Amino acid sequence: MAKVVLGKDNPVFPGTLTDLQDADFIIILGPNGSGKTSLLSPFRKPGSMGRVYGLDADHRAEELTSSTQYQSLAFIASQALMEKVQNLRDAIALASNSPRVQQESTVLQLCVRQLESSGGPQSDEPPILRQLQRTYLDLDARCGGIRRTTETYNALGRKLASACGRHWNGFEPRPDLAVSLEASLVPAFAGVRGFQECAVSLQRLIGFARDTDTFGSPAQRLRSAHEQLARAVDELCTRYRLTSAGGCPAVVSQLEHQKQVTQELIDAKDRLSACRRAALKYLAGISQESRAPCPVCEQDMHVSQVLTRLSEQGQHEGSGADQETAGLRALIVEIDRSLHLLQSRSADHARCLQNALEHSEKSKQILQSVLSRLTPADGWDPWFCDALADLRVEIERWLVAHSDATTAEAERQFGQIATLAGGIDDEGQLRERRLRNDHEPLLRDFDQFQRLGCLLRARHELNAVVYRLDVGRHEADLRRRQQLARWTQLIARMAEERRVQAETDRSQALDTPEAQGAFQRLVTRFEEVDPWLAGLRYDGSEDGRKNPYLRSVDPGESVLKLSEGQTVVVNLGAALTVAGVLARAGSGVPWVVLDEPTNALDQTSSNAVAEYLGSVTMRELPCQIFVSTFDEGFAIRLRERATRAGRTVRLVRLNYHERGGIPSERRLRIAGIETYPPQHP
Amino acid sequence: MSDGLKESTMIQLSHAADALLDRCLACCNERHAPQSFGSFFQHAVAQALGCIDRYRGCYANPGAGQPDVIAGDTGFEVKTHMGVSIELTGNYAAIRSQYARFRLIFLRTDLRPFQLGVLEVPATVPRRINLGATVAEGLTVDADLEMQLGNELSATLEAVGTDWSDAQSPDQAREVLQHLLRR
Repeated sequence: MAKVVLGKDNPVFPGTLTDLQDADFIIILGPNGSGKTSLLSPFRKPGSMGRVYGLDADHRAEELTSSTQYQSLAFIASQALMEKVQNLRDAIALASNSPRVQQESTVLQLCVRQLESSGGPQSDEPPILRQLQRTYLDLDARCGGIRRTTETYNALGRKLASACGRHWNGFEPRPDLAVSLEASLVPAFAGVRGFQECAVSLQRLIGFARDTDTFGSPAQRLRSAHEQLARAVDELCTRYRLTSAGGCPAVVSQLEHQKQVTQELIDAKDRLSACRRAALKYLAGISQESRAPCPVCEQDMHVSQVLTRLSEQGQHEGSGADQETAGLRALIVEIDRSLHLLQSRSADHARCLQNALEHSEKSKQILQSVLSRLTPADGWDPWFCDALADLRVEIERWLVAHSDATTAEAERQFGQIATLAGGIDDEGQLRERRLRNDHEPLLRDFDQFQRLGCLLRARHELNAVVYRLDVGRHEADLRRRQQLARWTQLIARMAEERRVQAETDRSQALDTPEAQGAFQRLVTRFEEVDPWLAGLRYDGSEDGRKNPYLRSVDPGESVLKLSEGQTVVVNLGAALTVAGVLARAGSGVPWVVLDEPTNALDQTSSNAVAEYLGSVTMRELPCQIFVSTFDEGFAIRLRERATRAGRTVRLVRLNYHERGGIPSERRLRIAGIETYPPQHP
Repeated sequence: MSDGLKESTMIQLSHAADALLDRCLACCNERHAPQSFGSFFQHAVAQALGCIDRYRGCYANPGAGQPDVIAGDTGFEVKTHMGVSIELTGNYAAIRSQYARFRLIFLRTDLRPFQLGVLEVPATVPRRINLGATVAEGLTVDADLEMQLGNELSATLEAVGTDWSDAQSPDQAREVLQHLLRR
């Protein structure tokens, strides 16, 4: 670097500092207010504050500040040195400027998010429009197959109105009125009035008759049982020569009597045989010559004759009498069978009679019930009323004629009544079906009519929304949106570049063994001044929350608590480390500027900083070093230490610049420039 | 308007018709056949044009090398288009030269509501036509037809409703139009 030329906005303009290319350590010494910071400001903010020039290969002046990429890293203000740090990561990050770049990235990302969330210009489309369109489409989908026109709607309306005997005004000009009138056009069901009220009773009547037919007529069953019983009585009377007078009970009685007589005859015969056997046994014991009365004719005769006669008779009876007895026993069995048959027939008859009586009673109940329900009311269909009247007459006639037990005639007449009721029911259903067939198309029409009405109303409401797209404005908005998108993209890219740069700066400054070693070497020089500070070590691992990147030799001390002076030294070490890394990396850092590095330091620390800063060799920091200070002692110690470290030192002494507020009177006042060559041991 | 441009009179259909067109386009996209929307629209336009006295009896011509709709000495090119300008490449000049009058009926589908426009295509067919808020000096807007067609197309679409928009194919949509609008 060859010279510094101050710009017109510089507080100490005009002023120039020249021939700097021969020195590599420049100390600007002057009291507060002499313009030291102003003189150095072109290093930080080139432009109207001034510019810094070097010499090219042909010794022509070449502006350096415009091409210096890391100039902000190379300008170390006292304020930056006093930033609080807790570890090396903080310090080096601060020195590498990555927080600022990261902050820029964050701000830019925020801008991107805000731009994206703004979403460009808002549409002025009424929100209700979309909602009404959805409603309209839903209603339209329910009108499939219908032509969705007012004409269709009105045609349906006229048809329904005609069926209802009403007048239809049409959809136009009052759609709301038309829709409100829809309900009044519902086709009323015109069935056989009164038929539905009587349908159950008629069905009950018909069903009872049908059941009678299905399960057989009780009257017929009774008659059949009666005939079978009579036939059995007649047959038995003939067979046993009985009299039929008195009916079945008398016949039964006669049969039982006959059975009893027969049984008595058998018993008598049995007794006679027993007597004969006893007589034979008795006579066999007495003299056969004696006389004895004959047991049959009671004539007095000889016993032998009696025995002979008894024997003969006994032999005769032995064959014939047994046959007679067997015949008598068979007769009893036959009489028992006949009695059983008669009792069975009689029981059948009794059961059929009971059944017939119950059926008759139920028939009467049904007819009486139906009669009470089939009373025509006002407004009932005339045809149905006439039919019911005929039916009622027949029912009443039956009830009068058949108040007692059932008869076949009663059943026949009941069947005629049921047939009549069935005819009425069939005719009623037929008429209802006809009417329903006529009614269903009207119902379908009404359904379509209502759907169409709702659709037309929704469409009317939708089309009444006033919204027209301003195409010109829309296209302008579109162009603006596209521009905005391009800007957003650009800003996002800038944010990303800064994020990457911050990461790169940090990693370059922090993650190299070279940087860590440089820092280590720098802080060890404080051994005599501050052994604790000199004992700080860089801890490169990142394996724990409590593991700082700069730690004390004391293992229990995980977070640094630095004084202001120690903070300055640590930050200075970090800044010089970063600058050294960048300078050695050829990153375009031709200088390092330290503006008042001893602010806030006591004398001892100030001496230490002079010792420390002056001892930085060209190898450690291969660039020009500018240091401004108000402290002459510090400047002298710095000069002595730097020359011993092999640097050529130039000491620039400033006086107060002229004040007065008039630009032409302001200027830099250089009191003297001294050059000190390096002292080689 | 300056710079050789003049204002376009593109019109909107009724909101109901617009909803049906939007639904139709969505259905075409769902079927992965967005290009079929153009055919749906052409059939509807042909039907609507037939309701205008001057073009009564017009017919759609699906063949290549002919206008989409023909009504006597007037040919109609029917386009649905996303964007401000449209390229008239191909044999438009040859097609145009066969008709005394030629109209470009277009629907801007990138705008909501859709915008309908009718331009007179001059004898010398330009390569590119602007369909935006402005039209080039050499082109003329057929504002009368635009208005009539807008009304008739709205009425046509409203009459057929979702039966048309939800049809599975342009042919089915045309059948719906013919069936429901048979007079």
